[in-house]
Amino acid sequence: MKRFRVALAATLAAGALVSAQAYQAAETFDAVWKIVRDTHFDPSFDAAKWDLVRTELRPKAVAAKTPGELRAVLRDMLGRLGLSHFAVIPSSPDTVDDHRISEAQPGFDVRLVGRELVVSSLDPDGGASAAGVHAGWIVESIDGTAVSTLLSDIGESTPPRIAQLEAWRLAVVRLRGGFSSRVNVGFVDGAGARVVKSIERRPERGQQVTVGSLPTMVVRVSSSLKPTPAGGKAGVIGFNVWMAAVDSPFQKAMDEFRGADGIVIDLRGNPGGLAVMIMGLAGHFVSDRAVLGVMKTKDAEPLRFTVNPRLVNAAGVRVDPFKGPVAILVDGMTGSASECFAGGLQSLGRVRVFGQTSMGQALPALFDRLPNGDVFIHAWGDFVTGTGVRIEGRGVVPDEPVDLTREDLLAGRDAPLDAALAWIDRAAREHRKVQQKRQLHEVLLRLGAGV
Amino acid sequence: MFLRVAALAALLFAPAYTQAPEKTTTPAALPDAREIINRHVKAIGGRAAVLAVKSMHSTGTLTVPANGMTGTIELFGSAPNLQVIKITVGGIGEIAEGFDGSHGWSMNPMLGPTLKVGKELDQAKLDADFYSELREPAKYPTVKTLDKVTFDERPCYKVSLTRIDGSTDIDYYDVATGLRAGSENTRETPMGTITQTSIEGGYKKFGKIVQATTLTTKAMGVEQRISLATIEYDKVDPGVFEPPAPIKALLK
Repeated sequence: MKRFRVALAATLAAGALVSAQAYQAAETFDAVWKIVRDTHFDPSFDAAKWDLVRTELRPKAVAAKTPGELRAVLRDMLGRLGLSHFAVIPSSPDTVDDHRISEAQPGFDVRLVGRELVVSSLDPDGGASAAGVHAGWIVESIDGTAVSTLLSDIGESTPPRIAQLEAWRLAVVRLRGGFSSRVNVGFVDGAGARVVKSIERRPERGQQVTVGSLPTMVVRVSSSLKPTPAGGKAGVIGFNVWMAAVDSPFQKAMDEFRGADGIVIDLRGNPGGLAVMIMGLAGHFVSDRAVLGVMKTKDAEPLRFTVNPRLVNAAGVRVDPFKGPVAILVDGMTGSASECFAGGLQSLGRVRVFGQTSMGQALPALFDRLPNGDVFIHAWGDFVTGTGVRIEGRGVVPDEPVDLTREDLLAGRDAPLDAALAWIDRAAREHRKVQQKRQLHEVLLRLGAGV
Repeated sequence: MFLRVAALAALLFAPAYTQAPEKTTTPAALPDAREIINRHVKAIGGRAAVLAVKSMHSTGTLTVPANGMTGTIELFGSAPNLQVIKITVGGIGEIAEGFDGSHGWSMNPMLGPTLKVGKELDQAKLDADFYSELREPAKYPTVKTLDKVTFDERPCYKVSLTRIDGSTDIDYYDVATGLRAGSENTRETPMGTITQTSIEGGYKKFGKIVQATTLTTKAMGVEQRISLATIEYDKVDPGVFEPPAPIKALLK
């Protein structure tokens, strides 16, 4: 399982309160090092080189004076793997003076557009909406720290995928804080004027879910019926993380939209979660036990992510999976299980993907509690789609790339969604033609057979 | 029934790990496999005592120590081959599997309702055998003592059991007590083939039968522990084995 995008999980846990746990640097370092050595999925993993890493870094870990210093050594060690899904989620602050807590947020999300950090969406019930913040505004400073300073380490040559993720992480860590606390954010508004807003941090909306040692996640599922440009109707379903609590509302939305011209699944900003769920949700759109992808691990037989066709609705009545056109929206913050789902269905030719290339962090992972109380997320397999496309380091490449622009955001346009809805019109027409031909063919066959 | 729990639990949290037991003696001195199995059956109360029970209900807990997952487990079994297992895990919900004598099914909040088919169904039917403790020749036509090894830090006889579906399980029987110490088995799942090693322990007497109350399963490097707190016999409502409504809809 597992299967959580590391940056988000680390951000969620970044402000945990100081605990009285034992500070076990050597044991913790050894545990992380050994888990990687024993479970790394790549057959070409260089164990001898890993031994040298231990020789070099263990003394630094043992000499660490704070949990933060130890974590820095661990980050150094894991960073040398050059892969996603190897990270330590802190269970305590980095130092005794570090009192950051991250249980509430100002209610807006950000994306890197060019070299600028831009408000990409707002929670209508969040503090930012209440303060009059709009999508498309440029974020210039957070609590007095210039965003340009925060982003200065992200070089021009950094791949856009990585730059997006890192910029988001740097911002979100600072935007989050305690309940009812405030964050002062400097913006450039739609008219080009500089404004500073004092924004109340509010609890994240949604259902709180805790799985094992992982930080508590907040699950949100949204669904609505949207008009298409040609006057049709498309069901739009979005959710923010892959947790079991998503399945029931997703199923209800599917039941509601079963007669729609098409379905749009919005996975923008969805960093992943329980990867096994991709088999269940894909079953709403695929009628057979097709293979979305294969997970290759160190020792065992490859495991197949096989679609479980959803042949029963929420009321317990037999139904067919949705056969009409399905679009998936992705962006640079779509990761892990979301990528396995989108990439898997894309490889089957069942969906059309719109938006920006996804995160490219799609290694199924496990998580273990470390001797110092931190949680270690570690990849234990590699995921390739049914057609052999490796998502890690590449991302899901949209069939129809649609850039995120400040102009669209300021105008209230959702360009990727608009493109998906327009495609649904075209695809639904084709789908209806095929259905009509099939029905006609069946009638002719029956007539020919004298039935 | 414990082995059947292991098969389900492995699906929940991760697959496949094999323990390489240490060989301790030569095959020449090994007892016959049927003798070893019969010794186990005698140690748990005897064949007659086992066959006298017609149904069983157990409750307990399940933990995955490494990642902090915890949950409850409830098992229902009835002769000849009815079975329902329910596991409730925090943050995930209830996962259930069953076999009603003809159909194998699962209900999983991460996957939706599923009917078992093909080899998976064949294995579910055998795994649901209420008297699987006896390793009867009708279900396990070929049994063979392979070795005397150290398993779970104790001398054990390693016995291979070929089932009527052609699959092979490995059992380990404690040389000192005769009780089964654990097993290795490979099962077909929707994700592929999964191999797991299970260690049984905490044998306690419930009624006239001695039952293992702890089961530690290792699959793909992940260890999970099941601990049974209650076991009672012949009080199971047959309605428990009715497949849930979504499964019945799939059967239409």
